[in-house]
Amino acid sequence: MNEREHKNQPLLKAFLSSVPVPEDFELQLWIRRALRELPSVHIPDTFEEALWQRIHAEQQINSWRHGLAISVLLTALWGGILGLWPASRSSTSVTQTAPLRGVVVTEPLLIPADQRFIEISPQPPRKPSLQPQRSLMPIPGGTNPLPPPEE
Amino acid sequence: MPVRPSELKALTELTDEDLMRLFQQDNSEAAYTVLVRRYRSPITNFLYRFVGNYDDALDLAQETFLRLYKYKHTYHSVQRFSTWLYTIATNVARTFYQQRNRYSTASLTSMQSSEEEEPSEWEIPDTSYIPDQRVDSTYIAQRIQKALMQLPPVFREAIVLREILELSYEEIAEVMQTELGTVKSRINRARQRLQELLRDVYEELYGTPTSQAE
Repeated sequence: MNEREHKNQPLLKAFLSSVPVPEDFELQLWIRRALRELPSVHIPDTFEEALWQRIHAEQQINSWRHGLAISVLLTALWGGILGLWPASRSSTSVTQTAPLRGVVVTEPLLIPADQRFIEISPQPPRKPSLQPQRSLMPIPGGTNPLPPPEE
Repeated sequence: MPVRPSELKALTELTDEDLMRLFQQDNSEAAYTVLVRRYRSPITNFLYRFVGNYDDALDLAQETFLRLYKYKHTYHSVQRFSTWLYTIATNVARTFYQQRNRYSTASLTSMQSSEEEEPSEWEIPDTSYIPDQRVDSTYIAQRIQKALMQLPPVFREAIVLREILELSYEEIAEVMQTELGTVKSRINRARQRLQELLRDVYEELYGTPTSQAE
C-alpha cells in the first residue's frame, strides 16, 4: 500500500501545479511586518489625571443641568398652578352666573270652574297660601290658573 | 487620583468583562482605572494611526474613556469588552473627522459609500513629533504613517485594526459595524494601496524585488 502511494506521488505532483507566489510577496510581507512593528505612542503621565478632570467637569455640568431642569420644571409647575387658579375660579363663577334660559311668559290659562265640584260653603274663601301658584288645588269659585313658569 | 493603589492591585487579575461588571454594578472607579490603564496605549495607538496627529490622538483617547465612563450602562456582558471599546474609539474618530469636515461633510453612510473614491485632500500628519523610540526606524515609521493617511478612512480603519491592533476579521466587522466580506475586501485593497505607496521605500532599503531574486 505504501509502495503504491509512493509511486503515485510524481503523478500527483504533475497534476497539482505549484501555487504561484506573487511578485510582491516580499514587499507585502515587509509592509505587514513594518505595520506591526510601528512604535507605540508615548502616553504622558498626566493622561489619567487629565481624564479624571474631564470626568469631574462632565459630572459637574450634568449636575448643573439636572438642577436647571428641576428648577425649570418647578417654575413651570408653579406658573401653571398660578395661571390655572384664577382660571379655575373664573370658570366656577361662570357656572354660577351662567346665562339662564330665557323666561317664557305664558298667558295664564283660564279654565272655567265646573260647578258640580264646587262646594258651596258659608265659610269665606281661604287665604292663599304662601305659595299659591304652586297649589294645584282648584280655587273655589274662581278660575284655576296654572302656575307660572319657574324662574 | 481617587483610587488607592491597593485597590487597583486587587483588581489587576480580573478579566475586562469582570472589571466592567464591577464598574457597572458597584460604580467601582478602581475597576474603571484598571481598564483605562490596560487600554490607554492600544486605544491611543489606534487613534494616532487613524488621525495622524499625536495631540488629537491623546484627546480622542480621553474622549473614548470618558464615553466609557458615561455610557457604561450600554455595555452588555455578552459582548467582548475590547471590541466594544474599539467601537467607541472608532466612532469618536469618525465624529472627529466629520467635525473637521475632512471627509466631505457627510454622515457615516456616505463615508462608507465613498470608499471607491480616491482621497483628494487627506491631511498629511504633523510629523514634527513622531513618538518613535529608535532613530533608525523614524524614517520608515514616518513614511508608513504618511501612506496610511493617504488611504481612504474606511481602508485605514480596517488595516489599522487588522495589522496594528491584530484584531480578527470578525472583530473588525463588529467594530466597523459591517459585513465580514466587506472587511476582507477593504483590508485587501488597503494592502494593495500600501504596496503602491511604499514600494519606493522598500526598494530604497532592499533594492527591487526582482534584482534581489537575481
